[in-house]
Amino acid sequence: MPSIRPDNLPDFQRPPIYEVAIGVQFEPTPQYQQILAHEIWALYRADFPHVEYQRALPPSFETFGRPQSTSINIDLAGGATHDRFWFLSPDKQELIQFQPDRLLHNWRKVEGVQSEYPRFEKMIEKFTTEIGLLADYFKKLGQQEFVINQCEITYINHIPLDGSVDSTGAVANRTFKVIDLSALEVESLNFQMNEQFKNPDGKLFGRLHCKIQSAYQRGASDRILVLELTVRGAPETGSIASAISFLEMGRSKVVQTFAKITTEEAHKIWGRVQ
Amino acid sequence: MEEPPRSPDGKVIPHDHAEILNDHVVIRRISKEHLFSAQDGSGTRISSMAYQASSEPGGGMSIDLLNLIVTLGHDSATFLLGGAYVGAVRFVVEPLRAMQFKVGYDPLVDNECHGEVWGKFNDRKKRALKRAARWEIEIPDVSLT
Amino acid sequence: MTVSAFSSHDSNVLSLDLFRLRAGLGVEELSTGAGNTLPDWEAAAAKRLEALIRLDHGWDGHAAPPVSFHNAHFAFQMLQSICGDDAPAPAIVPGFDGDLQVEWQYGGVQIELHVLAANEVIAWRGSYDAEDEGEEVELENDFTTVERWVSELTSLFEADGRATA
Repeated sequence: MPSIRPDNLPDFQRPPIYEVAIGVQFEPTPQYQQILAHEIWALYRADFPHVEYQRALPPSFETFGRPQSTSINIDLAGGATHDRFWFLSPDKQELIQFQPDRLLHNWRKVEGVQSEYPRFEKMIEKFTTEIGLLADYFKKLGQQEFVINQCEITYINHIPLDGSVDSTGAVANRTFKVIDLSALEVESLNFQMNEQFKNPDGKLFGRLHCKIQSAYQRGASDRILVLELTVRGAPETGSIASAISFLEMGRSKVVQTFAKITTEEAHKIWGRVQ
Repeated sequence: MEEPPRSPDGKVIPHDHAEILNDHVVIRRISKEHLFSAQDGSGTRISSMAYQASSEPGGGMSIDLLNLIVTLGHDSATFLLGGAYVGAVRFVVEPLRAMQFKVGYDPLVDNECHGEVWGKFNDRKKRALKRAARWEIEIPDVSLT
Repeated sequence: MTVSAFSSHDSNVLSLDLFRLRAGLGVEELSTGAGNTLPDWEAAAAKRLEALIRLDHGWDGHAAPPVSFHNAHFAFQMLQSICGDDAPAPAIVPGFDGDLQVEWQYGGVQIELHVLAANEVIAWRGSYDAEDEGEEVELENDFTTVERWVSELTSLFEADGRATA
């Protein structure tokens, strides 16, 4: 069933989106080994003909109890590791990331390629198909059950500075409601906050992570502020349908938070229409 | 001992063996991985995780049948210890059956005294087994609970 | 490392994030970037979990697999949600199916956290010396109850002067 944009969701004509990633984490199937990675690529190769290799991401879970801080996540060393494969579209704007316990679909702006963010509804439709293909493949290998234990959706926004000395503080003040740096001459900025959320039964199940930090474009002197919003958590059940439902909820949460923490001045620049 | 019931592919079917009487004793070997030090300095303990079924489909908790060990003339310590095992505990069969477990005979190629405790293993039961265990071959300076 | 497709060597954005995770180091060398080392329990737990995921197949003398990578990571993040800096280091033991159990025994009270899978934990607090069954709860990813248990245990630990400065 195609995803439909919620009616009341804030909408922008020119959002500063630089990258969107949607993904699931699942119990790895014991029957899968890295030598079979070409069979995984074959599932997607028609639309993603290029491949690159990255270091695998460690498993990640949202758990609740003590307040989360910026504590380090440990990457336990378990011996031989699998690569994280990137299967890229011809223009390299879209990619599928695969490792034995993760599947993600990213869209990103690529220099020299003129195209707009394809919108969540298109991405989630493709991703639903992609997860289904993978689950069917693992089933043929002999996996008993494809169990998704974590979902995440990330929006990364780039907000350019204007190059002046006090630009970081000034632009941050004009863009974000959550920070007031007017009394300071800010050189760099690193701000993080988390928000827990509950389901209608009052059960904690997910977290929104918000990060605002200074950065600069490699090869250029352009400094920017990066606003990264991630919703991560456990779906209600381990099924694909439950994961998609979580991602749809996560997207709404990200967009609503984006609108809440940014100023009306910024919304005018980004062309808010709703 | 009478051969246990088997499926067409030769696997032993979970059963209560008639020749394993309620007052018989069965032995559970303890792995060094299931020993831990109490944080209050009171010494080393056996974890309740030692008392669970194996992960094999239809598997139970591996045991050795003391009657067979004795009948066949084995020395317990030599027979039960070594490799992964540093000690052993015993259970009387009747309390196991009272916990809705079946206690049966499951001879292996390398262990003719092997048996199994089959049934639903949950955390309440593994703690109950920890309470019920008694030393057969005591591990020095280790407490049962 | 993140899910961003700009996290590779050809990333075109460099972060000025002051808290960097240095890849490939042993747990003893990790820091928060402010010169602080990990709490004792974190270093001990990470070391033990690494040992458990490296157990040989058949470590139990039969066919038990090592503790699963996912379960180990989940257990560690669970502990981060439960333990304050001064918490006593938990004991961690393997199950026979890739599962594991985190446990403390202090002053006659035992806490056992049986991690069957990610988001599937049986938590129990009680005593093997007492007649009553104790308190058992099935948990997914909310460990508020267990955090309270461990906080009480940590208070006893500190009162006994066992906490490190």
